[in-house]
Amino acid sequence: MAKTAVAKQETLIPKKGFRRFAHNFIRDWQLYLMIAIPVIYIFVFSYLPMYGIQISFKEYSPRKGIWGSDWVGLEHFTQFFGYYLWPNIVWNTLALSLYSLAVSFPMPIVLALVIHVHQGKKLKKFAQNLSYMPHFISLVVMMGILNSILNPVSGLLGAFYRMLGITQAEDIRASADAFRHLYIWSGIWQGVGWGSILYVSCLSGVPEELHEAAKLDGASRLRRIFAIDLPTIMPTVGLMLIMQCSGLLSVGYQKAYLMQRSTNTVKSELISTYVYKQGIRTGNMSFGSAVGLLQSVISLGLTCLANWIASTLTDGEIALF
Amino acid sequence: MAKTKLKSTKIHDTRADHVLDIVTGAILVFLCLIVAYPLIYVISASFSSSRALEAGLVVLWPVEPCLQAYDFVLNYKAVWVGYRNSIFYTGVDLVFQTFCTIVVAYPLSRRYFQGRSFTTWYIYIITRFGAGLIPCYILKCNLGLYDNIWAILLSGNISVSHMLMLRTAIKSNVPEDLLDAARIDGANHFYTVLNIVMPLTKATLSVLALYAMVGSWNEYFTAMIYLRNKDLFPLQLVLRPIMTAASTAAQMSETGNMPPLYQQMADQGLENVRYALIIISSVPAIAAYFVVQKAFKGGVMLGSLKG
Repeated sequence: MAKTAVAKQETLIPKKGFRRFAHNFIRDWQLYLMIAIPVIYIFVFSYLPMYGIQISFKEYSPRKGIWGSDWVGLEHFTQFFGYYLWPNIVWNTLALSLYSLAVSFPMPIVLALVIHVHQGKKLKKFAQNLSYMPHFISLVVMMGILNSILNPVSGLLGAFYRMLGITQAEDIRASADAFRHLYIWSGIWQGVGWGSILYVSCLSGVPEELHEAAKLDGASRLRRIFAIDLPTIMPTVGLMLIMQCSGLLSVGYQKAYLMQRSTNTVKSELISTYVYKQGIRTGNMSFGSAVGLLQSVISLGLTCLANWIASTLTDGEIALF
Repeated sequence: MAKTKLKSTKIHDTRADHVLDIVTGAILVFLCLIVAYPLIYVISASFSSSRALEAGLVVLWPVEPCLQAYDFVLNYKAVWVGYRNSIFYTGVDLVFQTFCTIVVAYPLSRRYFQGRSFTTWYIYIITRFGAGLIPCYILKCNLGLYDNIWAILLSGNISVSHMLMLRTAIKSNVPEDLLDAARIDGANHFYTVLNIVMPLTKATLSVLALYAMVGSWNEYFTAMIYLRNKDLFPLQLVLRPIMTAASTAAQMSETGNMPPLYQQMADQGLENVRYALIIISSVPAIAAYFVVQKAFKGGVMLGSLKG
């Protein structure tokens, strides 16, 4: 009975080609209708702008429009590489993201291991909940906190200076050398707890039997961290690392922009902030777009590279695509 | 024999384990202090008099406690206009984002849905390659999305990772049999989503809603690019000149001149007002976290990576 029913069903569905597609389309029309709004939205706001990329090779004038503007070839690219500060801007971006890769990236992993290993449930819970709090503070407000606390006169730092008897203190908020450290460490303060959630939940998925077995074999808890816990979270760490690498050139420019002052632009001018200033504030749209395109293409290349390295090293176990 | 051995290892942690416990405990206590101290300081400073702040007397607890700062903010209209705008933008964005997440995640979780792989690629590509700021800017200006509320409401932000997270959650939390049964009983897809899928993925949905909400509440960059009319500014943009007080002259000129609030603060030496603003503007996001906290068990994030 059942067999014939299945056979009947199979004959009803066209095997392949357009007819099969049409058949399924009619059957699932509600699903297509559902998905239509986001698909159109994404098309308009993410794919349609790609048409505008061509202005990187043109001299865009709003009057002539994107299509009508004159071609100038690679002029904007040579202009960027002719600008004497371009290595500086690129280096600032790379230095900041490498710094963050070296310091901000491992911090949540270490914290997750500490949380996982610690036995006191109450302290653990309290520390976790407390460390999530700063994540909800906005960038703008975070700048307010940083600026107020580090104010050498009226801030917390000022109070400490007075306690220590320092009268003539430098304003570290304005110092170019302090920019990277302020940027990274304030980021860690805001994000370490939140970033650890992923790894904590990953660690809690380690089968208890593994730990029991290791215990029987006399492994201390420290030993088990390296032999059991770390290997289990490695795939996740690998994936996160690839994603970090792909974001190497677009590191948090919104925050950097808020932190910029005339005194620290030597260190705080990033590719993205430069694009914004040139393209929108100064109005060199074609130039800004060219620099932005350069950034997107290199980022895409970096993603592919990181992905390729990871997948070859792990035999395809860790890969984004 | 084996049983007793197991038991004994369970009871007696080695000395090394005890040391490890103490060390990790110390690290956690240290973390708590580092995180809590600036927060407590900000709260205390907002309740202190500006004179005590100027003199650097506030270190932990409020000095000369008063509500002067809050009183000042309460009577300052621009902040409340920003607050109202932010609530509006955030509310609309929250609904739209959640809607989009659901209507993409559900079809993608259906194995028989033929557009599945196309759609997955279609939304995945934009996470890896974007046109960039300037082409988007030109497009939006051409569409008339400049200096009006639509510029913010249709800001083009749509979170692909949320869609994929919810898709995974639907796959693991909603039994296929249940959906089959519903279909046989004549439920269409819209009915299924509303009455079966959404209730069963409530935890994931509320966490994703929290992300969306916090994200758009804290957003300032889009508004800075597309808005000129001060009456439309979201709270973050209103606060920006105050929070980044001594920023470059160029940044000042772009949001108009020195805002009157900042001028007033500088004139009257109202250092504590900034702290009060920090607290008032952060309340909604943190409150949202506490509301959603129960649903928040971290499992959501794990699911996202399994693909």
